[in-house]
Amino acid sequence: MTATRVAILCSFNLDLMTRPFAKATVATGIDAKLYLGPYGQWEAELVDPSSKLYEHAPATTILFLDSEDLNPSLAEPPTTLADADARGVASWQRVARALAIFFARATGSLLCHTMVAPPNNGLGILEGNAGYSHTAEIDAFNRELRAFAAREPRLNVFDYDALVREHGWARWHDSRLWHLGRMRLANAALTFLAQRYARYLAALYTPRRKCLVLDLDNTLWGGVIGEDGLGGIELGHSGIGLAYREFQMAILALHQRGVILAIASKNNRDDALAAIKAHPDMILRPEHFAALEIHWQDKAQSIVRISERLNIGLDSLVFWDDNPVERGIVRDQIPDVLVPDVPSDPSEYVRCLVDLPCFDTLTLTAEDQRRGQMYREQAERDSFLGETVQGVNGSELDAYYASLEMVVDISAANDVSIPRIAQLTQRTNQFNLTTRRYSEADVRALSRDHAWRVYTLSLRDRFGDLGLVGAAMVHTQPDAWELDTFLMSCRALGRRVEEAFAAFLVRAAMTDGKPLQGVFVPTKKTAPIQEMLERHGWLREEIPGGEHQLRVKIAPLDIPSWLRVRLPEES
Amino acid sequence: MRDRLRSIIATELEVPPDSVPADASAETFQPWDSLGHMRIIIAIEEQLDVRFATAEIAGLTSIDKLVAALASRDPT
Repeated sequence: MTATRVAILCSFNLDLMTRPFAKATVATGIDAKLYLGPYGQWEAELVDPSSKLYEHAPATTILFLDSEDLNPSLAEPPTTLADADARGVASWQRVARALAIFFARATGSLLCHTMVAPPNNGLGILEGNAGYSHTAEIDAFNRELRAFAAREPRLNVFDYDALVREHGWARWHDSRLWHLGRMRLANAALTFLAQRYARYLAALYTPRRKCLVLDLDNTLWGGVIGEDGLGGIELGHSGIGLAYREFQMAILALHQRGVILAIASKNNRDDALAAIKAHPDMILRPEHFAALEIHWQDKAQSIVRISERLNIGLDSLVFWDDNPVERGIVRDQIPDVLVPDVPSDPSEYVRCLVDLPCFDTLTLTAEDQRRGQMYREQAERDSFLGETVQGVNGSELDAYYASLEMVVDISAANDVSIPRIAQLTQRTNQFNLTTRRYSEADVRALSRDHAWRVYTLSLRDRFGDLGLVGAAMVHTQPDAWELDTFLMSCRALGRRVEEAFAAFLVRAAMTDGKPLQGVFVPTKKTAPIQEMLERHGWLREEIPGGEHQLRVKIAPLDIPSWLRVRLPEES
Repeated sequence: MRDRLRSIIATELEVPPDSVPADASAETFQPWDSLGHMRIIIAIEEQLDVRFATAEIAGLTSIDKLVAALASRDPT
């Protein structure tokens, strides 16, 4: 359970939300202490520095403004489209003034609802035909909100409009509750809304899964390639073939958001590869897959090999197979792998895939968008290593490292890197000193705190840019630099870049006249960092209390000679 | 029916079932406040598959009145 504090400010009475919210958050693994502001007082709560909102100190504040509450002018039609637009902008500006105070006063982030244009406004079918429009007014508000969110990293947009469209306006509202108690939402809507809140909160605090492992026959196409052949499988522009094609498009969209793709299929490798390469209606092609396990061996073993090959944990994998027997075996043998209940009708595949919260993220970093390319570059490095290093001795290995022409860039955290740092704290499991998870707001607050230093490490080599792959967070204390977080993405390991990072940190601490120390919190996955700590003799005594945590003291060391290292200017 | 209503009321008001008097009403039973009333009405509608009119809801503030309102809709 992740503990957090949440506030909801709403323009109408949302008192009935407390129980559905508690239920939905607990079901998602979040222990959220909720403050529900008095209804209608959202503006006062945001503007008044002594309000209960600030007393509650929420990590996340949800702002739910209903279009009819914020724009009483809906009773009074705008005169022109330009007037409608201006009214929407003016509504947004009122909200933005209150938010400016919130962002100056609070440290947490804010999740702001988009607004929904009520379909049953006074204009009837004249709406949009009269030369003016209520909907245009709401559109202008939402447009301004999205533009603001693009500039303000602490503001996330809650796509309420999409949620209401998904369920339908009429089903969503209960006018009786509105008339009797100033409550707009029907009971079912409260549950759906609470579940969506939980999904957004989970995206802030739960590491997302990194890799989707796919079956082929009756998953990416209909039929069996080994029996039906290239011309016989169902994949195309009509019927069930269209369902498979659209499923591939949804997978491609996930891939473009940074999800790695792999295949685990029982097939003749040549038949399957021919279909992936040559079938005219395939959306996914060989270059989209980072690992292929196509043979007749056990799928659970295939999945374990994919995890090893990509150097990511089994709990980062999702396995999609139409065959319930295969799903059952994988669930049973590797419980860490998430195995969704795939619908029996392929027409429902897309809906099921996009409803999976395990790939959710509220920020997309440059690393996410380039991940597919980076895994392809890694494959090139691997084959380069295979050719270069056959039975190496130490100096040959050094020569290999040198041939990679690595450049390391160590910097203080900044607005661009903070989302990625938070993401690394949430996702990195293996080379991670303490496995402490931080939200973007947490990292931002620490990076501004004078008692803290937050550093990043970026890496590139002759094959490409690996991006931001390391982060360190140091709490400077009177007698020591305490290493709160020290981590490296697994894709940067095996080339001793982490030594350059440690060398920089220990030097910076010494410049400040302090030792660099910390605590190692071992988990079942932290073998890679433990190996480094042991090799350098940095591990000290166990901390009493039975959790096997060890004190760590980092001794000065040299930066490996083959690395070109750029250090932050300020220190 | 009375026991069914007592059980729903207890759940919605988060009190032990035994603490709900058989003739509980919003006037005499302190946990039955206005928010609790909305919860009770919504739960009865869902679980007993009925729908009350807006004007009716505000008046259904006792088990007696609820029993009468439910009996009037159920021909059996």
